[in-house]
Amino acid sequence: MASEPTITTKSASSLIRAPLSPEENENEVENDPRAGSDGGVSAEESFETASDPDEEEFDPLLASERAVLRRRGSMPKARVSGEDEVFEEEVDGVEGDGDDSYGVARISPVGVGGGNRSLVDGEMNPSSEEGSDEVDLVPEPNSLDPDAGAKESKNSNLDESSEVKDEKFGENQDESIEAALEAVDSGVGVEGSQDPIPDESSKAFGGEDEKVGESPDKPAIEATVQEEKDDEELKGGDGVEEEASPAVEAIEEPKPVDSVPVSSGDEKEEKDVVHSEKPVELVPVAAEEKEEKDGLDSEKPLESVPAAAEEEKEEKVDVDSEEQRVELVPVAAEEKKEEKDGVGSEKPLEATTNGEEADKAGAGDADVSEQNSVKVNASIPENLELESNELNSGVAVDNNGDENLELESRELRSDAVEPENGKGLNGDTASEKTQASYDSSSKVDTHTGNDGEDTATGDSVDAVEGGDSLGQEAGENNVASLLEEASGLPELSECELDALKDDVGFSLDQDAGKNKGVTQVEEVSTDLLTNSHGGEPDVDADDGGVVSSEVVASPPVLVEEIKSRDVVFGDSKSLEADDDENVGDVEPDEEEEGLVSNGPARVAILESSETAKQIIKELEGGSSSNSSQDYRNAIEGQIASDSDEEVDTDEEGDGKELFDSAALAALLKAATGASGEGGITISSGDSARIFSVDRPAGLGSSGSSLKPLPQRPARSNVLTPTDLAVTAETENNMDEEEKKLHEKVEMIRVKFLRLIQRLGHSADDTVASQVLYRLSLAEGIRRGRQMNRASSLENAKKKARQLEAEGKDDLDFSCNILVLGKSGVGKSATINSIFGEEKSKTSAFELATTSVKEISGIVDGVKIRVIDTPGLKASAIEQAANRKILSSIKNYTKRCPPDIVLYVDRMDTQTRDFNDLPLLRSITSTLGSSIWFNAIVALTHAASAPPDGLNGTPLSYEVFIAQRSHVVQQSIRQAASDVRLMNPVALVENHPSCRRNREGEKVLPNGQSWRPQMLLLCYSSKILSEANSLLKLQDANPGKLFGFRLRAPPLPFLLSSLLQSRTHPKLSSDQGIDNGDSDIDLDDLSDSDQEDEEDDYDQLPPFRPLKKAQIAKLTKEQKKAYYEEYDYRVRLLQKKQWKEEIRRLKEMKKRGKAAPNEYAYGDMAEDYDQDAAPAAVPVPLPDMVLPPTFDSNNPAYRYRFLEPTSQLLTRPVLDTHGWDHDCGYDGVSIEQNLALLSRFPAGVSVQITKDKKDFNIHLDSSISAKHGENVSTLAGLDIQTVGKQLAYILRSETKFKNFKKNKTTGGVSVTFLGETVATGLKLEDQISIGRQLSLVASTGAIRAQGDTAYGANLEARLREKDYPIGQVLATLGLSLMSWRGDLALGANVQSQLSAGRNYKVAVRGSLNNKLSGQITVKTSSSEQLQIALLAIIPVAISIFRKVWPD
Amino acid sequence: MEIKAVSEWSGFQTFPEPTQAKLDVLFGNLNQQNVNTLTILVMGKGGVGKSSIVNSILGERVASVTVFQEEVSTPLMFSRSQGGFTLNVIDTPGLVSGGQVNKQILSSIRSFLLNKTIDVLIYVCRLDAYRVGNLDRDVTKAITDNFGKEIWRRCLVALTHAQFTPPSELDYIEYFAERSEAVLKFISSGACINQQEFQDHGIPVALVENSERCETNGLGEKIVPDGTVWIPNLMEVITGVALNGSGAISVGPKVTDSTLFGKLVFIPMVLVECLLVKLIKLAIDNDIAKETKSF
Repeated sequence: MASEPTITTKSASSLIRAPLSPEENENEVENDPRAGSDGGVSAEESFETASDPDEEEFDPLLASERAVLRRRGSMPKARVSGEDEVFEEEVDGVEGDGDDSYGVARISPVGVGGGNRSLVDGEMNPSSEEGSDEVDLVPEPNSLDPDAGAKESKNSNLDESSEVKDEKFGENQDESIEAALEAVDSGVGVEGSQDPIPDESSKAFGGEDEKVGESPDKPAIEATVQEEKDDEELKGGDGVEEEASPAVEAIEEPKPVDSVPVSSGDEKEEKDVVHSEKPVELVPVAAEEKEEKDGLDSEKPLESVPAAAEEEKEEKVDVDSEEQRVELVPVAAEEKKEEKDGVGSEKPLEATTNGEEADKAGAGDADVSEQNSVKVNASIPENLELESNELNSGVAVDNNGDENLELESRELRSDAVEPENGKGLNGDTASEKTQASYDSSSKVDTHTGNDGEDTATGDSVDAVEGGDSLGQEAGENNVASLLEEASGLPELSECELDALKDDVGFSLDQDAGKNKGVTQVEEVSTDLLTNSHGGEPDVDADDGGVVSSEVVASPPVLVEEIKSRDVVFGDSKSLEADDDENVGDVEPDEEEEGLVSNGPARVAILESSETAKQIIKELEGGSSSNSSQDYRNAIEGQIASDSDEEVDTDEEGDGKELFDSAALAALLKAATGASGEGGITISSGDSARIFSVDRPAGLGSSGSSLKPLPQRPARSNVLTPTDLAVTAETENNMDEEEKKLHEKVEMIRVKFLRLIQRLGHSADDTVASQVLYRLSLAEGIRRGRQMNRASSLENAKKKARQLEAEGKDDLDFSCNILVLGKSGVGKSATINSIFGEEKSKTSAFELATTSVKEISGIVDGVKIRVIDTPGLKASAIEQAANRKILSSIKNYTKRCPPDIVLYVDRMDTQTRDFNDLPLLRSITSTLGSSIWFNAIVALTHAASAPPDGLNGTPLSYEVFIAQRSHVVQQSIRQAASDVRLMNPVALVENHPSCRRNREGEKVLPNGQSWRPQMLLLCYSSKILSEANSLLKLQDANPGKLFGFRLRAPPLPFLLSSLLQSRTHPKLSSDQGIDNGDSDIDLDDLSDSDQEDEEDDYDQLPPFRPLKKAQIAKLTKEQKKAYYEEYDYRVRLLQKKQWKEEIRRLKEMKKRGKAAPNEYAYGDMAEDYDQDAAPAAVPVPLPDMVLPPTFDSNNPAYRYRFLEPTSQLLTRPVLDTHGWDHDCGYDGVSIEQNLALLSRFPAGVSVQITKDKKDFNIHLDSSISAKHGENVSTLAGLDIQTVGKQLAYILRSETKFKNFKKNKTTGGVSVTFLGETVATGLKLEDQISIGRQLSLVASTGAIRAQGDTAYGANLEARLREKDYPIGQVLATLGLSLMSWRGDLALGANVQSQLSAGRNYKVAVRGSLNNKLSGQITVKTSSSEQLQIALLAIIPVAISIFRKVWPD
Repeated sequence: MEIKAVSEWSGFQTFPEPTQAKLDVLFGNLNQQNVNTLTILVMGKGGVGKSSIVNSILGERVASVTVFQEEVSTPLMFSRSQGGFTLNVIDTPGLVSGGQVNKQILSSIRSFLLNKTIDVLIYVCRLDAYRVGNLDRDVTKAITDNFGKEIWRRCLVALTHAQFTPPSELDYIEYFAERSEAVLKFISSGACINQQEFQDHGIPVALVENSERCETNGLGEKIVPDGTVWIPNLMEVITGVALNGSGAISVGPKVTDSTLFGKLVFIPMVLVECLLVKLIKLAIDNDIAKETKSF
C-alpha cells in the first residue's frame, strides 16, 4: 500500500498496542499517540471497516471520515494484537464510534461510494491474493488505511489467530484490506461516501465496527473525517466506511478500536460496532494470545484481552471472548493457555469485546456472540483448532495468511453484507445472519459443551454460540458467496469482485499482504453481498453479515468476520468486527491459527458457516504468506506447527481432521443457509481422521480430503489465493501429472456444475459454492499449490453449460442413499417424493415397509438408488427387534455401500427428551459409528406450522427448524459418541397438498424449495467423496476409527499386574529349594517335619472304614468318634504323602542338574497341587461329535485336536458359563515348561480364544536365571488383550533372599499397548514369619504418556499349620492406587474355612475408598441335597407372579 | 402439593360468548347433580400437548409448555372457581423418557395424588401420530398398575393437533376414526380390559386443537376440521365422564412393593422347601424299611 506509508508502518507498529481499556476504542484510538501510525492503522482500520460495506446508510464520507479519524490521530487504536492495533489506532479518530474497530474504519467503504470503489478496485486486484499487500486500496490513501485498519481490526477481532494475522499483515495488508474493504463497502452500498478514502479506511479499520458505530455519528464521523483527512485518507475512509456499513464495521471492528468510536456513532452501527468490536476484541484477544495480539487487544477495550490472548496461543478460544467481551482479554489469555479450544477464545473475545462493547451491548452482543461462537467454534477442541489452523495454514499456506483471513473475513462480511440494499446490507443481513448464527451457535454450544475440553467454556460458548453461529454462518455464507464467483457486486467492479472472490476463496494471497487481502475481501464481500442476495434468504442473511464484515484483511479478520456476522444483526459492523479482530490478531501463529481454526472448527461443528472456516483456513494458509511478516510468519509457523502437530498428535479427532470435516460441514452449512434450514452442516467426519482416514464417502470424507497436507505449511505460496491478478498464473507450470489431475478435477467440477444446473440451483448457492471451493482447495492441496480458481471455475462453468445445452445425457453420476428412521416418520413418502412417483408404499396406520427394499430410478439424469428400510422402534425395550432389521440392512449395505445415509425424523415432534437415543445407539452399534459421518438428517413434515413458544406466540419458522435440528443432531452426537459431529439437515415435506411454487415444486413456509436442496446435499456429498478418492488426499491411515482409540492405557490395570508377586520358574532340580522364590519354603517344611508331633501315619493302628449302612447304625457319639478318627487318618496320610514329595524333591536337588530334558517344574506349590508326575500319561478324551463350524449357533471354530506326544501341555479351555448349545470349549491352552541350555528354566503358557468376532490371547512366558543361592532373575514376556488391542509386556525382576525369611524383589516392566509405551517399576518384599504367616508388600509405579500411576500392595497370609493339607487359609490385602490425582484404596479379606466335616466356607469381602464393596460367602458341601433344590424357588416365584399378578 | 388457593376462573372470560354459555350450561348441570368440584388429571407421553390442554381449558397460560425446553418435572394442580364451581386441573410430566416408561414420574404423580380424588382422567395423544407401538401399551399398562383398572372408567382420550390434514387417501373423519380405534386398542390391551367391558363402558374420544392459530367459526369459537367446537365439546365429554356413574378414583397409599414382597418371601420358601425335602426323604426311607421288612 503505497498510499499510506504511515499506515503501513503504523499497522506494523501501531498495531501492536497494549490492550485497550474497556472504553471505547475510539477514545483510545483518538488518543493514541501514534499519529504517525495512523496511516498504518488506518490502513488496517480501513481494512476492517472496509468490510462493512453494508452500512450503506452511512454517509460514506462520514464513514470514511471516521475511518480517517480513527486511523489518525488518536489512532491509537489499540491494537489489540499487532494487527488490531493498527485498527485501533485508526479508531481514535472516530469519536463516538462505538466500535472499537481497530483503526480500520469498518465503515463499509461501500458507503464511500465510488471513491471507495475505486480504491477497492485498485486494491482488489492485488488484494485478492496475497501479497497484495500493497493495499491497492491505496489509491485512496484513506481507504487504504481504513482497509488495512479494517482488516486488521477485523483480523484482530476474528479469532485470535486471526489477530495474529492481522498484525502480521501489517500495514500493507491493512491497507490493501482496507482498500478492499472500502471498495466493498462502497460496492456494498455505502452511500456515496464522498470520501472514498476515508470510507475505505474506515472500512478497513474495523470496518464493521466503525461503520456500525459510525453511522449514527455521521456528523461526527464527518467531522472527524475532515480532520483526519489530512492524516490519512485511510482514516477518512474508515470514517466513511463506518457510516456506510455501520453494521459491518461496527461489528467487525472490534479491533479498530479507534475506528469504532467513529462508527459507534451510528445507531445501527453501534450495534454493529459493538458487535464488531466485540469480535474484534475477542479476536484480538485470541490473536494476542498468540503473540502479537497485543495490537489487537489494544484495539478494543479488550486490550486486556490481547494480553490474554497472547498467552494463549492455543486459544482459539476466541470463542470465549465473545461472551465476555469485556476484559476478557486477560481471561482470554489464560484461556488460551488452557486450550485452544474455543473455551479459551471465547473468554478473551469476550473480554476484549466486553470492554468495548459494553456500550454497544445490543449489537455487540450479537457480534460478540457471533464472534464468540466463531471463536468458540474455533476453540472447540484444541486439536481441532490446531488442526484447523493447520488446515488453514495448510490451505492458506499462502502468504496471504493474513490477507486470507482478512479476505475471508471480508468475504464473510460481504456476504453478510450482501445487501439487501446492496449497501448497508450488513445491517439486515447481519441480523439475519446473526439469527442464523445464533442458532448455530447454540448448536455450537452443545457442541462445544460436549467437547471435553471445552466444557469449561461451554457456557460461554453457549452464549457465544448464538452469536457465533450467526457470524459463522454469515461467514460461511460469505465465504461461499465469496467463493462462488462473485457475481459481482454491483458496486464493485466485476473483476475486482471476482478477484476478491477468488482471493477469498483461496487463502489470501499472502503476497498481497493484508491490504490486498482487505481489498479482496472487500470486493469479495461486496460481491458476496450481491451474490448472496440472490440466494436464499438464509444465505442472504449470512451474506449480509459477511459482507459487512469485510474483514478480509487478515485471517484473524476472517474469523472476526465470522464472528461479527454473528453478532451483527444485519450489521456489517459485526463483520467489521471480525475484520477488526483479524486485524487485531497479530499473533500470527497459533493465535491465528487458533482463531482461524477456531473459526473453522467451530463452524463446522456448529454449523457455522463453512465459509468462515474455509476462510479461516485460507487465512491461515494465506496468512502465512501475508505480507505482514510477522503475521505471516506467525501464521505459517503456526500452521506449520499445527499441521505437524496435527498430523502426529492427533490420536483421535484430530483437530485437523475435524477441521476438514468441520470445514466441509461449515461449507455445506453455509451453503445451505444454515440459519433457515436449521443448520445444515456437513457432518464432520471422523474428526480425527478427517484428513487421514479413508472416511466413508460423504461430506466428511470430502472434508478430509480437503485437508491441507500438513507437510506443506511452510509453503506459503501453496495456496495463494491468487489466481487472480495478483499471483502469476501458475497454471502454466503444470506438469503432466498435474495436468491430468487438473483434468480429472475439472471433470468432477463440470459434473457438479451440471448437476447444479439440473437441480435448478445456481453455482452461487452456498452449498454449491462451498463444494466448488473445496474442490479447488483439494486440488490445490494435492498439487501443492493453488490454482487459479476463478479461471478454472469459469472454464468449468462454460463447459458445463455447454454440455447441458447439448442435452447429452451422459452424466456419469449415481448416488446410493440409505434411508433410516423410526416407523411412521415418512421415509417411504420421502422416497416417493424424490422420485416423483410412488415407488414405495406408505400407510397411515400400519407398518408399510416391512423389509429392506432397494428402489432405483433416474432423477434428472442421475441414477439414484435408495434403500428403503422398515421403520425402527424407538422404545428402549424393543431394540432387539431393531437389531434384526439393522443386520439385514447391514447385509444390504455390504453389497452396495451407500454414499449417503438419510436419517429421517419428523419435524413436528416437540419434545426435548432424547427419546430416540436407544434407537440411534442401536444403529450405531450395528452399522458402526462411521455411518454418521456421511449422514444427512431429513426432517419431514417440514411445512407444519411451528408450535407456540413459551410466551404464547408461535415460534418463528427458523427458530423452530433450528431447535428441532439441534435436538436431532444432539441425539446423533450422543449416540455416535462424537461431539464434533454435525450432520446437515434437509427439510422435507411430502404431503400432497403442500404449497407449490411456480415451477411446481413443493415449497416450505420459508419459500425454499426443498427437494432440489436435499438432492444438492446428497450430490455434494457424493461429489466430494469422489474427489476425495480421486485425489487421494487422505493419509493411508485407515485403521483408526474415530473416537475409539484408547485414549489412555489403563494404567491401574497394568500396574496391578505388575505388582503381582510372581514365582520364578525353577529347574526341577531346584524344586523346593529355597532359591529365593518359593512359595513354600522347603526348609520350613523340613523343619516342620521334625516339629510334627502328630503320629506318623504308618504308625497308626489299622483302621477299617465302615460302610455307610453301618455308619447309620452307630449312635451319635459313635459316629462322631468314627468320623474324627477317620479324618485324622486321612490327614496323616496326606501329610505323609506331602513329606514324601518334599523328600523326593530334595533328593532331586541334591542330585544336581538333572538330565537335559528334564522338565522344570514350576513353583513347588503348584507342583504339589497338580500332583505333577514327571510325565503325564496321555488319556484319550472321549470322542465327541463336534458341531459344525460356523453354525448359526456356534460362531466359533471347532477343531479336533489329538493330544500330541509333544512336550507341550495342551488343553482345551472349558467355558462353563457358555451358552446352551455351546459345547463350552472356547479356547485352547498350551503350556510348556522347559529348561533352556539346561540352565535356565523357562515356562510358557498360552491361552487362545477365538471366534468370529473376537480373538483373545493371553501369553505368559518367563525365563529365569539363578545367580548363586540367593539371587534369581526373571525375564518374561506377556501378551494380553487389553480392550481392543494387544498389549505386549516385557518384564524383568530380580529376587534376593536377604535374610532367612525375607525376600526382596525389584523389577521393571515395559508395556507396548497400541502406540503407547508404558514403563513401570516395582519393588517388593516378602517376609515369612513362622510357618503360618507371610507378608508381602510391594510398591510400584507405571508411567505412560506423561501420566503416572502409583500403587502399593500389602498382603498378609495366614495359613493353617498343615497347609496345604488342611485348606484353611486367610488372606488380608490392602491396596492403594493413585492415578491422575485419583486415589483408590482397597481392602479385601479372604478366608477359606471348613465348617464341620462336610462343609467348606469361603468368605470374601472387599471394600474400597469409594465406599463400594462386596461381600461373598460361599459354602460348598456334598451333603445336603436340599441346597440344590433351592434353584426351584425363583422359578416358582415367577410362575406365581405370572399367574396371579399382584 | 401445589395446591394453590382457589382463584377466580378469569380465563373463562376469554372464551367467546357462545362457548361461555355452553360451559355455563354444563356446570349448571353438574351443580344440579351436587357436583361442585371437578378434578381432572391429564396424562400422556411427552410432547403431546398436555400442558397446552390445561392452558386451553383454563383459558390462561398457567402451565409452561414444552417447546424444546425442559418440561414440567412435577405434577402441578391448577384450581379455578366460577360461580361456586371449582375446577382442578392437574398437569403431569410426560410419562416416557429415554424410550421407556419413567417409573419415577409415575410414582411422583402417585404421591402427588395421595388422598385426592380424581374425577376424570384425560389421556392425551396426538392425532397426527401414525404409529402405535408397544411403548404406548406400556404406558397404559403402567397407569393401570399404578392407579388401578378403574381409572379407565373415568377416562377420556384427547387427540391433540386436531387441525391436521391427513395423508391424501384418507378423509378426516375416517382418519379420526381409525386413529381413535388404534388408541383405544392399545389402551384396552395395556389396561387388560377385555372386549366386553370395553363395550359396556366405552372410552370417549375428543378432538383438541390448542394452537393459537386454530380455526374459528363465525362466532369466534375454535373449531376442529370436522366442525366441532372443541372446547365445549371437551368439557361436555368431561362432565359426561364425571357423571357416568362409576366411582371417582381415589389414590391411596401404595401397597408394599411387589419386588420387596418377592424378596421377603424367599426365606420362608426356602425353609418350606427344606421341610418338604425332608418329608419326602422320610417317606422314602420308610418305604424302603417296609420293603426290607417284608423280606
